[in-house]
Amino acid sequence: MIGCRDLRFSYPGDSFELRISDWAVRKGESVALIGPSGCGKTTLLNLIAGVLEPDEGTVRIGEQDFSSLSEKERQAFRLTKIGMVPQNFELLDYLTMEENILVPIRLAGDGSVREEQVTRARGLAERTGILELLGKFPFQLSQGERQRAAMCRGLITSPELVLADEPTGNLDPDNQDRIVSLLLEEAARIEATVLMITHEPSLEERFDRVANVLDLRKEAER
Amino acid sequence: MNWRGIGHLGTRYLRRNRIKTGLLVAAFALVWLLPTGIALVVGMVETQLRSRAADTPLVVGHAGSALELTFNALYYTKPGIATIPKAEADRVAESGLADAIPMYARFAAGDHRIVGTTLDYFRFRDLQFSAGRNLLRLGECVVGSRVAESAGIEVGDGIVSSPETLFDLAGVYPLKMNVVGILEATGSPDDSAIFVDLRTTWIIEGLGHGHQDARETSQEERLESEETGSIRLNASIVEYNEITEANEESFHFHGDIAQNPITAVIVLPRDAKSQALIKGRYGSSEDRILVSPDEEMEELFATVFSIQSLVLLLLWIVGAGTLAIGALVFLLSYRLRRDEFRHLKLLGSPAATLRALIGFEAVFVLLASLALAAIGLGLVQLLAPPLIESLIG
Repeated sequence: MIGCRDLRFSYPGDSFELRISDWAVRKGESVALIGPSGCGKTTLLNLIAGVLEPDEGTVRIGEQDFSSLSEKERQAFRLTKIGMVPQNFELLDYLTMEENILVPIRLAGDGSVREEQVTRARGLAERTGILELLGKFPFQLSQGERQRAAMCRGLITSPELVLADEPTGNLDPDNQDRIVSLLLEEAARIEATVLMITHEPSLEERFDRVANVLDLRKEAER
Repeated sequence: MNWRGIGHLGTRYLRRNRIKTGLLVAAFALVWLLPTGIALVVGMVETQLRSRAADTPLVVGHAGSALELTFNALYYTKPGIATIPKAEADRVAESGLADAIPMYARFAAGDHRIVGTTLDYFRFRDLQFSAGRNLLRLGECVVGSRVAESAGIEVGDGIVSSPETLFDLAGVYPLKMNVVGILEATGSPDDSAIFVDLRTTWIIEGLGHGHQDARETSQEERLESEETGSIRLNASIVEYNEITEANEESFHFHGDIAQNPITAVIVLPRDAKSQALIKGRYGSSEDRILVSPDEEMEELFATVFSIQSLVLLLLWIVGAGTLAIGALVFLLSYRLRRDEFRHLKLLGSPAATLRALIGFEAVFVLLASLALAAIGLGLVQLLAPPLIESLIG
C-alpha cells in the first residue's frame, strides 16, 4: 500500500535530514510510528500525505507515485483517498460537529453532500458515541468528544489510508485507549491502512506493527 | 473551483460571526449611503426649490435679505420679514408693465401658514380645486391638500388662526375662517397653505374688525354718554371672531387700506422689455428690493454645493478610513484563522479554494453593504420628498 524508496528530505536552512531507503506498509495493515521527538515522524507522515515533497526518492500509495503528481492532483488524492486525523482536533469552531465531519466532502468534488454521506457521518458518530452531539459546536464538547469527531472526519470519505498524527496526545489514558480502539475498528471496517504516530507504549501493542522512525533513518544511513 | 463548498463554509463562518459581520456590513453601508444619500436629498431639495423659483419671475419686498423675501413669497417661511404697504402692488400694476399679486404670509393656523392674496394667485399657479369653490367673501379660506389631509378638514369646516401672543390684547386675535374649498395636491408649498383674501389677514392682524353696532350698545358698555357727539365703548363690547353672512357688513377697516401691510408682491412682467424696465426702477430704490427667485436659488445652491462638496470630501475620507479599518478586520481575521486554513490545506483543500473562502467573506460584506445602502437610498427616495415638502412647505 505505502512504499517509500530512497527518500530524502530536509527543511531549507535546517540541518535535519530524513532519509529512508526502503520501507513499505501493506494494504489494511495498521502501523504505530514511534520515535523520540524531532526524529521525523510528522515529516514522514506529511511526505506520505503529499503535503511535503521529497528532495529525492519516491512515495507510492497503492499504484500511485506521488512524485509524478502535481500539487493539485496530490490535494485531490488526499481529499478522497487519505483520511487525516490531527493531534489538536482542528475542528472548525463555526461548524457543528456534523458539519465538521462532512468538511472533506464539502471540499471535494462540487461541494454538495449526498444523503448517504450524511447517513455515513451519523453512522460513524453513532459508533463513536457522539451521535447526540452532532448539532453542537466544538467549544461545547470535551476533548475526547472532539477527538472522536476529528476521527469521524478522517474516516468520512472511506479513505484507503488513514494518517493519524498522535491523535491521543491530548487525552487521558481511558480516552486514549477508546480512541485507538475506535480508529482501528472503523479502519478495519473499510479495510483502510492505518499509520499512527504515538508516544504511548501501551497503545503500540494494538497495532499490527510498530515502526521506529529513528531505526528507519539508521538503516538508510548504513 | 468548488463554489458550493466555499459558499457553505463561508456562510457558516459569517453566520457564526454575525455580530462582526453585521457591524462591518452596517459600517460599509454607511460609507456608501451617506454621501449618495446627501447628494440625493440635496438634489431633491434643489429640484423642489428651483422649479417653483423658475416659475416666479420677480418678487418685490422690503429692503433686506433677498433670500428671506424669496422664501417668504414662494415657500411661506420667514414670517417675520419686514412688510411693505399694499400700495406697492398697486403701483406695479398701474405701471402697465406687469401684473402684481400681493402676498401676505405672516400668520398661521397651527402648523400651517395663512397666506393672504388675491384670486390672481390661483390663476398664476394654476391651482385646481378637488372640492368646493374659490374665495368669495371675507373670512373664507381655501386649504391646500396636505392641510385638508392632516387635519381631516372638509368644505364647511372651520379653521381658527393662531394668536401670536396669548396676552397681547391689542394684537392678533384668533379668527375662525370657514373652509370653502380644498385644492388638489401640487407637491408644492401651496399644499400646506391656507389661502384667504388679503383683507382677512388684515382682520387677523386687527387692522379691520367687526363688532356690534355702537348705537345699539347699553350704557354699561360705553365709556361716556353720547352727549359729546361720539360713542366711546369700553372693553365689554362684543367683537366678532368669525365672519358670517349676518355680521359681514359690520367688518370695516380704519385708515387708508392701501397702506395696510403685505410681505411681498409677485411681479409678472408682460415681456422681457417690461421686466428690464421694472428691474431698472427698483435698482435704485433704498427701501424696496426686487429679486429674481431663480437667481436667488442659483446663488443659494452655489453655496450649498460648495458646502456639500466639502462635506462629501470629509465623508469620503471617513469612508476610506472605515474601509481601511474593515480591511484590517479581514486581515486580523485571516491571521486568527491561519490554523484553520493550514488544516484545511492538510485535508487537501487547494490554496485557491482557501483564497476564495477569504474572498467570499469580503465580497459578501461588500455586496451586503451595497444592498443595504441601496435599500437605504430607496427609503430616502421614498421618505425624503414628503419630508422635504413638509419642511419647505
